[in-house]
Amino acid sequence: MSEPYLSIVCAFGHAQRSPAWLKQTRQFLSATAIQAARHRLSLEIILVDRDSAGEGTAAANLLGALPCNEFADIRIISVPGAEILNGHVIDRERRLQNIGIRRARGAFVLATGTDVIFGSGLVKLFAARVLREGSTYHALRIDTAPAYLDPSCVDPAEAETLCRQGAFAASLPPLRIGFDGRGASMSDTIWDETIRRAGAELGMDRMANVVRFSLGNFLLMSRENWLRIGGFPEWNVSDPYFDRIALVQARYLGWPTTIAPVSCHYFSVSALRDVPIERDLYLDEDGDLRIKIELPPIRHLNNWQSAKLLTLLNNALPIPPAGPPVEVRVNASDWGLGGFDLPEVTGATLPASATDIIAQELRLGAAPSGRTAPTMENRT
Amino acid sequence: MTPPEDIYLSVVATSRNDDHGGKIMGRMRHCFASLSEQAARYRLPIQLVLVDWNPPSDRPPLAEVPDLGASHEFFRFDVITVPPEVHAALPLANDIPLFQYYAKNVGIRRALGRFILATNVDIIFAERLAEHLGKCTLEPGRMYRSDRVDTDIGDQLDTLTPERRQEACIRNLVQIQTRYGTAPAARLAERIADRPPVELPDVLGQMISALVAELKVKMPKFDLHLTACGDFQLLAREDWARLRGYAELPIHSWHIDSLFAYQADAAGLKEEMLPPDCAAFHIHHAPGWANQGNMEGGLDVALQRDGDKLQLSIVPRDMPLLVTDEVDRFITGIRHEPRATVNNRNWGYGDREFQMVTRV
Repeated sequence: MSEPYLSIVCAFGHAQRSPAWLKQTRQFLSATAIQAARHRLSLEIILVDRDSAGEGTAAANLLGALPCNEFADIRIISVPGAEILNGHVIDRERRLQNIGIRRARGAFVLATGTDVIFGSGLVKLFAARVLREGSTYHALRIDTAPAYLDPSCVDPAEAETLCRQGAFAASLPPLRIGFDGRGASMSDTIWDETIRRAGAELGMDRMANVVRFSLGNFLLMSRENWLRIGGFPEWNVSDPYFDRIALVQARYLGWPTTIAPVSCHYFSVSALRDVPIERDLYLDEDGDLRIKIELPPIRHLNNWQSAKLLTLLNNALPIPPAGPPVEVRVNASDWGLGGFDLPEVTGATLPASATDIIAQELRLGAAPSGRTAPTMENRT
Repeated sequence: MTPPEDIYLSVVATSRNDDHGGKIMGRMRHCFASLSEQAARYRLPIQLVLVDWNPPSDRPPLAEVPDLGASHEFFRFDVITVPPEVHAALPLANDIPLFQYYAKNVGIRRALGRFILATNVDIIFAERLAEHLGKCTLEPGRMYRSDRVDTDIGDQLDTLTPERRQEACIRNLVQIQTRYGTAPAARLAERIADRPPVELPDVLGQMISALVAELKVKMPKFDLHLTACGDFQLLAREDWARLRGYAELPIHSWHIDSLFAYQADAAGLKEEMLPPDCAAFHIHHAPGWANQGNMEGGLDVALQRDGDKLQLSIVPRDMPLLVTDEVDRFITGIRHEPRATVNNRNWGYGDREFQMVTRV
């Protein structure tokens, strides 16, 4: 494949080795590869494989045959043990994504997770090739608990229907609006209207400062821009809100943030990231019901703190266009393990049943069905 | 002195003779004197339980410090001393000299009053608050809260007379700790500059009321009043016992008061705000550890210019503490199972006897 239009970079760490997450990852890979073929969108999916507990099987072995096709390539980059990396701490999701971002080949690079399924509207948007170099992109996240298909024969339309049926919230972290996915998925019209209302309730059309509302695990910009800002921060704190930092770096360079129209959303199987509450509850030696409070092994950079950090930054210097573009650096030049040559495998085979779906469409010369890709407006 | 069984309100606070935050003795003297005077004025039987946690070896323990106050007919002043060996047995004893909520639990568990207020040694009751408490209308099953009014009287501590204390607290107000966060009050202070002393309590109540109403419109979704809640949480003694006091975690005290508020709420205790003029004045002082840096949560931020570039870095401080993520997790857990407690039956070192001195 020549240089793809889009690189999708996902971490494959310890959490992703759970049976539930593996099931979702197979679904994600199959659905995305088939979507790419249907919409003639050249993309690569990069999984950065690192088992922090050091006890897992390699991602390539866990996932089996990778569902690549002529439009979609899948690369698995393996990160060896920390002792080989001179003490670099690379366990956390954004660090792993940095490794993939640094090695991506696409003109645009999306940092996300394998716990997502892209809605057809979003894929059409990618396929329309309307993304601009000097911008960063977000999309609305729909939290869902879908039923699963056999990953060897995923029909993306069916996968999207299941995601719609299991949907329970629209998210613009830290904001969240609940809704009834079963009712909303009765028809495309009802779905579109439900999503439109959720977007309006979240205030997406009048958001003054997009940076404060990180959309979670979805940040898209050109590869050149990722390289210029130097990836996500590699600070030794927890990283769910690191996309805010990347966004604010982009903002200081004068790149506006664009939120895709609500019809171009993605689904997130958010429960995969939940920690079961029952783990904190226990009976003590007196037979009393107790609740544990445990500190995480590293300090959080959470919603509150990251918002406060942005305020500090904003107070320190004006944001373009009020001031000149400023390069805000966070990482050293070797971010994303830039100094290391990491082993990599790529997918080569495609399950026959999935091939059949695509081949049939390609033979028929079917253009991607549905509405045309929406246009987008910048918002800073 | 009031018999133990007749004490209506126990006020529990902790300190040590280490000049934490600067002028700590001056702040304590005004705090205790004010409480003592108000107990007499409203004939309200109050017990002050001061827990002297890990007293420094090179200074007198609080039970022996002169001029800190003494008991009288309506005021019983008890000092409980928790010796250094108890402190030393906790993790991080070398980093944290006073485990605030372990200490408060020691006092709460041993308090005699029908109701117990957990507070701090730099809190002065507004006169209206003392008057309200004097009516003895508190009820079990409630968690009483009050807005904290920060007042900058630190420079006047040595000269301030009891007669002028309330007026000075209002005239020097800096900020108000409302349910919706910290609200700067410089403009409010200007508005009261020319008002006569007799009008100040009413004006303060009206200002707080208007401020809270305004903030509520902007932030309608706040639930519990968590802002500075460790300075004023007032419950019936049996409710404190049922909840087993504050979470005993050997970490920095940040957010432990919020955990308690959520635990009480999940257990069915109704949060009740005292009237707006029943404020708790807090003597403004140098900040504690957690807010000395740039950010909540113990992260130090550095912005350094490098030519036309800016280098942004974050360094976590080497101090364990809770941030909102752990609190959120706790909220989910305790709402899932409201009968659960953080502490075991031995909370507040229930199995230990500590020296208790009644100051006379």
